[in-house]
Amino acid sequence: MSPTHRRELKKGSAELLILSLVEVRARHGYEIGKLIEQRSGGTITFSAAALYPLLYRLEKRGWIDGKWVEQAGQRRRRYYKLTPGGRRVLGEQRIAWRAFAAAINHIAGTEEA
Amino acid sequence: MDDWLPEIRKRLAGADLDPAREVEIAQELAQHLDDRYAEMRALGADEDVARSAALAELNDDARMQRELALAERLESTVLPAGDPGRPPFLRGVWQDVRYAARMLRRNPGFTTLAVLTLALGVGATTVVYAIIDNVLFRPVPYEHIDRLVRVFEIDPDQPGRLISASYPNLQDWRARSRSFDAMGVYRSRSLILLDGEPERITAATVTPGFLDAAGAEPALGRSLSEADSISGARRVVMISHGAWLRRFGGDPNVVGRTVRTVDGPYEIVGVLAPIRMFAGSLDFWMPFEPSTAMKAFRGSRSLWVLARLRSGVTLEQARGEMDGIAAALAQEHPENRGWRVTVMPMQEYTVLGVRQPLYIFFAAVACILLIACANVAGLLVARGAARSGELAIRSFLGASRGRIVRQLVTESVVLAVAGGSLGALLAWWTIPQLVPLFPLDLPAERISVDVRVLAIAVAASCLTGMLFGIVPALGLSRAGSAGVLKSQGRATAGWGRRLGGGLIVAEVALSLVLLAGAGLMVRTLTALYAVDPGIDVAGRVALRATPLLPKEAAPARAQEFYRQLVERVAAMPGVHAAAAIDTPPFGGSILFSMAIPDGVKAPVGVSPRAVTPGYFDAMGIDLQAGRDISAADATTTGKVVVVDALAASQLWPGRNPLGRHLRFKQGEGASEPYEVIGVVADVRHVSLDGESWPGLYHPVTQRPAAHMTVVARAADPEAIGRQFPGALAGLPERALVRPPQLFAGLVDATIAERRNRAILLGVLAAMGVGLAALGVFCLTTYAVAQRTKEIGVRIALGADGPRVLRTIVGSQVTPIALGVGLGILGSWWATRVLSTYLFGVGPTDPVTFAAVAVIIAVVGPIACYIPARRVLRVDPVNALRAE
Repeated sequence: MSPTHRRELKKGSAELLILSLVEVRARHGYEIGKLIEQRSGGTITFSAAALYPLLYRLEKRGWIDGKWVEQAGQRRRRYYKLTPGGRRVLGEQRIAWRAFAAAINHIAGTEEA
Repeated sequence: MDDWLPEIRKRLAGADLDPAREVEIAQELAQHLDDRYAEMRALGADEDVARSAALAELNDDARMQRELALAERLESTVLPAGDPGRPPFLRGVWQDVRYAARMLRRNPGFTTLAVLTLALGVGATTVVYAIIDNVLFRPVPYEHIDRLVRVFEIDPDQPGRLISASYPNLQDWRARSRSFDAMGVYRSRSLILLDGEPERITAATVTPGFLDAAGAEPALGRSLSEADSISGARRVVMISHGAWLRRFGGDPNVVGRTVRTVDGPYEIVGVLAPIRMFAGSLDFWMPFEPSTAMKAFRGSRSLWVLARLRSGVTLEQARGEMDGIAAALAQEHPENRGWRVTVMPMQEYTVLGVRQPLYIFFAAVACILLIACANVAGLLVARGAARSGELAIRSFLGASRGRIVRQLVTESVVLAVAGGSLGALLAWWTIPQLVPLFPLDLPAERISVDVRVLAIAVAASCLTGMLFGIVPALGLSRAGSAGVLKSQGRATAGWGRRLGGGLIVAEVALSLVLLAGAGLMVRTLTALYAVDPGIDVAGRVALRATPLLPKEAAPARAQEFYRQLVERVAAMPGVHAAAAIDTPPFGGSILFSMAIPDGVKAPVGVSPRAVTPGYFDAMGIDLQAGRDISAADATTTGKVVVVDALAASQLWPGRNPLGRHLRFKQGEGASEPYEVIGVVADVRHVSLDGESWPGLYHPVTQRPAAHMTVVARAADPEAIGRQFPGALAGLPERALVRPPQLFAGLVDATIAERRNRAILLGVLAAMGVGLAALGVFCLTTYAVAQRTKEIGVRIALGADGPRVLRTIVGSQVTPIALGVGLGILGSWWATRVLSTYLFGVGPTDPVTFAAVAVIIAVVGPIACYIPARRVLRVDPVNALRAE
């Protein structure tokens, strides 16, 4: 996959990835970035420069909600969790993504016969 | 670990973030780099490698800056979805409220200004509303208030005035009416107590019917009875519950004890159970004893009548019955010809003097609130320009116009509730301090901001929020749905300018009405200050001492007491002149007699006064003709009198009064004749704005008086006042000294209420004009911002800055001028309600109207000019490149 392709795909799916990761519990930015990297087997990575603007954008839309948490001996961390609005969007995006992926697979003929 | 912050801040610099937000983002990124660094170290990397790896997270900082800037400026183009569990409508409202709160938090300058403006308007309105609600809308907490009524007589010549009742009429009403459980009379009198230090108090004199009507029962002993009122009966008194506790230590054996007074002893026959009427301020209750004159003259109307409706009798029935009785009495007695009777609920009577002023103040604060609303609407319009891009995107993404309007109105309501709550809080907090400052006689203890008032304040705030939110919202949403993304901002220009103009018209008009009202009050004060009181107040002081003498012994011994006292005061160092008078000017009371001038049949109502020689000199009253009263005008010589100019003109119009005689009406006959020996200038005896009565001055030797006031002219009248008690030592009688009063202060006190009302209206008008000026300022700032491009083009095409400035200011001057016109029309209509409070000026006084129009015409354009000056700094190149 060329870097350009990867970037386009990332952009389209990044929201879905982040929303999915904060669905069950609140996570901080580094954890989110690490989980995406690990679970995609290293295919998808986000640098801080790319990740945080995305988080802020989702927060502005009211889909996730960030809260500062103080921890002894460390800098405070910002934890993000899914809002009720974000939960609805996540549901919609999941459905859309499955339909989209199924359609692509179907057309591109990569579906196993 | 490393300190990443300097590096991070360097890389964020190009994003042009809000400084506080930049700090937050930097901290979050620093934590991220910490984590990355720690992870690399854990994997075995050395410090330099770990550090590079961490910093690599920030590579592509140009993109980060761009994305951050975009994200931070994003005004949530998609409305947050709500909790799907709630019904769709409520879900929407909750979303809107949260979204609105977020929007407002993000614009602290705008939000603060709007909230403070609204808090001012709502706070002022809440204070006046709380007073109205407590005073006018709630029952006075008297026993049986729903059945208590006052009964007045109505003069056919002055149908608008409530006149006290005469004793014979009262007796007939009581005998003939069936509508009342009880009817009685109240009158206050002063009493000097001799137990302990002599003390002057106000006592109530009442008929038994009054106590019955007021529901006052004896807690100890017995109540007053009809037999107590017969003159010559044993003198008795009831004491109030408060006095029983305070003065007699709650002594259970108080009944039968004696109260010593200057007029002799009174036996305590009972203690009243606590009643709320008169708020416990009256300690002693005595039988009302009508004077011989009161009993004899049906035309002498001076009694305060209270009655209680019989259970089940309506006000209308009682009125009907009393109308019939009054008609019969008018037939039977010539003094009653044409006179009617009116029955007024006590509740209505207690608010008689405050109802109209309270409504006027309420109208004034409502104007402030409306101006505040217009201001916030203006702020919304101005901010709307900055948001048109966001709204256009939202509408482009499919939000309906109704949805956008609802969101915008919700924002206004959230704003209004915030401002309203703050205002209500301010009102609740300041009302105990503000009520005593109010130029009205208010029952302060009954006034508070309670839940009911708060609820109404908050509800009113919501309503105002919709009021000022809906118009800008409709305009903005239209601009938004026009979908002109590429020229965002300009789409709002046309309607925004029109709405802005409309708001300026409204603010200017409302503030002008307020200013006109305040202006009329100021003109009233000026007119009052210009009134010649007839006396020279400078250096004049009233010195009051009452000899402790029983009524019957008083006149003769008092005369000697005051003669000696005047001598002593005159001898005090620094006193230029001293004399005494029984009813001093501006002292609060005057007497009346009917004088029959010789050669004329019809009597003239006059106000007689008893003075010692030298009075006119001491008070600076001009002797216009004849001679002054002298020590030689003693009891043995013929009776003499000095008249004032008004009396002279009314007694003998157009003729010289000197040497003429007058008599006083006494029952059916007349007194011996009095010769007029002098004419003096008129003196305003009661107040500067009140009616003037023809005045007569008698030598006190020929018209004995029990109580007099010594008047002195001195270089330092206050010092004389302080030394006065010392002058009493060694006089033949013990005396009760009352605080000295400067005549300047006494005259001033008669206009204090008007002045305080003028100050209050003035403060409100200043608030109104200030808010309106702020509104014009904001809207002009907005107009300039809107037209930056146009201005750039003009300047690029060669127009010079000052000319463009004139154009901009000129375009704002049109709505100001319209507002002035509308405001004058409004004032023409509104200031009529002030007419009873004005003096020496009409409610549509052209001078006042012109003056306030000039004030607005100066303030308005200045408020435009300051923000409009920015056009001089417009750089045409930048202005044109702006989009």
